[in-house]
Amino acid sequence: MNLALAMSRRDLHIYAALAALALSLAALAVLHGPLEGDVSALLAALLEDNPTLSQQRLASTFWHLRLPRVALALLVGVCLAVAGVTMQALFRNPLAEPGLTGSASGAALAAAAVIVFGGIDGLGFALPLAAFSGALFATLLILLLPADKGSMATLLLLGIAINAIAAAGLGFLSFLADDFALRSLTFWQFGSLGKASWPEIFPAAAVALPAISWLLLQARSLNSLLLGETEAHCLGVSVQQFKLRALIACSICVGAAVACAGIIGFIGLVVPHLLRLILGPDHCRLLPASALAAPALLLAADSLARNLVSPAELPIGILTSLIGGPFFIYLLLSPKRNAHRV
Amino acid sequence: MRNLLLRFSLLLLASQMLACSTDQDGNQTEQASNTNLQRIVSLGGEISETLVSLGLEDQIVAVDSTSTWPTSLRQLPDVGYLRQLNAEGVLALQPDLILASHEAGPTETLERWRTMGIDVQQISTGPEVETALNAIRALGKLLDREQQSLEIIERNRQQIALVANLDSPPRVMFVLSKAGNLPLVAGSGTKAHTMLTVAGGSNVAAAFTGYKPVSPEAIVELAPQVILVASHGLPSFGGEQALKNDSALRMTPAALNGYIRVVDSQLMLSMGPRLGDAVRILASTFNNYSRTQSQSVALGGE
Repeated sequence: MNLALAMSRRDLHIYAALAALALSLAALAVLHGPLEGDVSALLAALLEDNPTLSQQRLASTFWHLRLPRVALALLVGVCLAVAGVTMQALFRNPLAEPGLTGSASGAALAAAAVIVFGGIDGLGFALPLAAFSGALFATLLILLLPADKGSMATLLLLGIAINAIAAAGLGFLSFLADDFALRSLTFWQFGSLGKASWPEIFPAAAVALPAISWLLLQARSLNSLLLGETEAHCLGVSVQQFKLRALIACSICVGAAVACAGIIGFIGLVVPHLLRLILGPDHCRLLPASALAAPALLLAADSLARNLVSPAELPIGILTSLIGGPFFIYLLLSPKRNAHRV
Repeated sequence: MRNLLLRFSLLLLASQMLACSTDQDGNQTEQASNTNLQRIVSLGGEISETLVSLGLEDQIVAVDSTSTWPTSLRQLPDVGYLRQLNAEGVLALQPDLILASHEAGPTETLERWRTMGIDVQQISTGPEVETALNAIRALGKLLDREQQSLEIIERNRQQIALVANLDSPPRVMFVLSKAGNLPLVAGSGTKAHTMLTVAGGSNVAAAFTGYKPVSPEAIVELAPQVILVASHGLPSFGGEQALKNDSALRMTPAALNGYIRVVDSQLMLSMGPRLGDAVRILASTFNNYSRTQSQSVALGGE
């Protein structure tokens, strides 16, 4: 209902454009890849009763390589965008990013432990599970410490401390790691959608979707928080409780994203900014728009990652920044947008 | 705004089509030229080397980024680092057989290829001489070249058997590169450790495992008599001259005796069919060192 109230015609156009962009990029990603075969060949392969070997391969590529990858891009994009918007609002700080309270580095530390001590074949589900638990644990640790939770500055500083400790742990694990684990670790930290598989995506989505839906409905509360905590309290938001819940929801989102795709930077930090330049600071618009734009950017980057240097693959983090960065600069320099700057 | 989004997506579409069209052309020409041969994708430097020495180079359609010898392999499509394989990218090469070192991954990707009916064989390659030679045997068996693989193994064993037993093995340190400001030194459990040990040296850094950065003071303490530097790590020291003057290495016996040597990384660290050659080269360096030492001792005694 919150969303519906805020929708004007202009907003609708923008949502429609973003949704169309995301959908067409998704369609492009499932229909086209390095494997030969145009749309009609793919359809024939999918519908054929007695497929040839190459048709089987094409169909299997569609179901088990491309489709999960697109699904993962959507999931990770939405998770990071929603968590990014929420963090920036909670901390009233434009530099806030989804991993601010240590969730991403907690996940990285736990994942590193599995990579270094688990051996290469012992990974399986241990790696995503460890990453998710690490993300949640880092945030819970901050929330459970007997510090003054009312102060966002304290939370922020605790987050910085947790990040530093996790970074130290990560450094130590890199020192212990053999050459091989070290390289796995480095690649994991670049992030990739390449490992996408249904058995990992379904549980991640099941965990993340409730958190995402809840966060999407908190636009009004986030708007009130922008005015200041006292004002938000007067507007009927139980500020302390809301902050705790929002932080936990964010860490669930980040944990699910990081568990499946490693650390993909830039999206959670810049997509909200990008849309704030276009739409203004209203979270009723910002949240849904970010949740549409981030998957689109991720899909675009992933399509390039898969295709540009095929048969090899580029780390996706490079491409999200490469596509998003110039676009962001363009918006910052465009004079008529400056009115909306936060 | 919409206009901008539209232009952006068109740009993306165009770049994809471009990437796609070059891909397809490449594939078609390849398919035409070797229709009656197996199409092998080789993942792992030692595996590619072995395939070439078994006379199968013309059946390799793509290699990973660690397959750098023989240099002709660099002409083939590169599937990237063998832990970060692009499942569909490799599929697009239409391989019949994927030969991968046990290090290749992600495991899910290899499994996916198997379920698509591609013969994916993983071969244990390892930092020990026996695992390395067994890998050659395993490849020979798989590819119907067992006799040739046995000959290669026999030649390597002979070369290793020729290594002279030195009365006092020289104290050797193997430096991979300079990481940050410290040399990255090979401890036990590394291929470098095996190589220099088999060649008759004694690894001064055997106390730790893997490649670790070592401080200048610790290097002086370790007192290596011979220092081997991997050629691909030479640029990280700033070239051969800078290497000789490196503050961490300069105060070692090796520097005083002029025994800081740059060695071919691919030859020394791949442990493929050229294992014996690499051992022979190292052994001759160690022999020379021992000889000069015993001469100088003899001179000192006069």
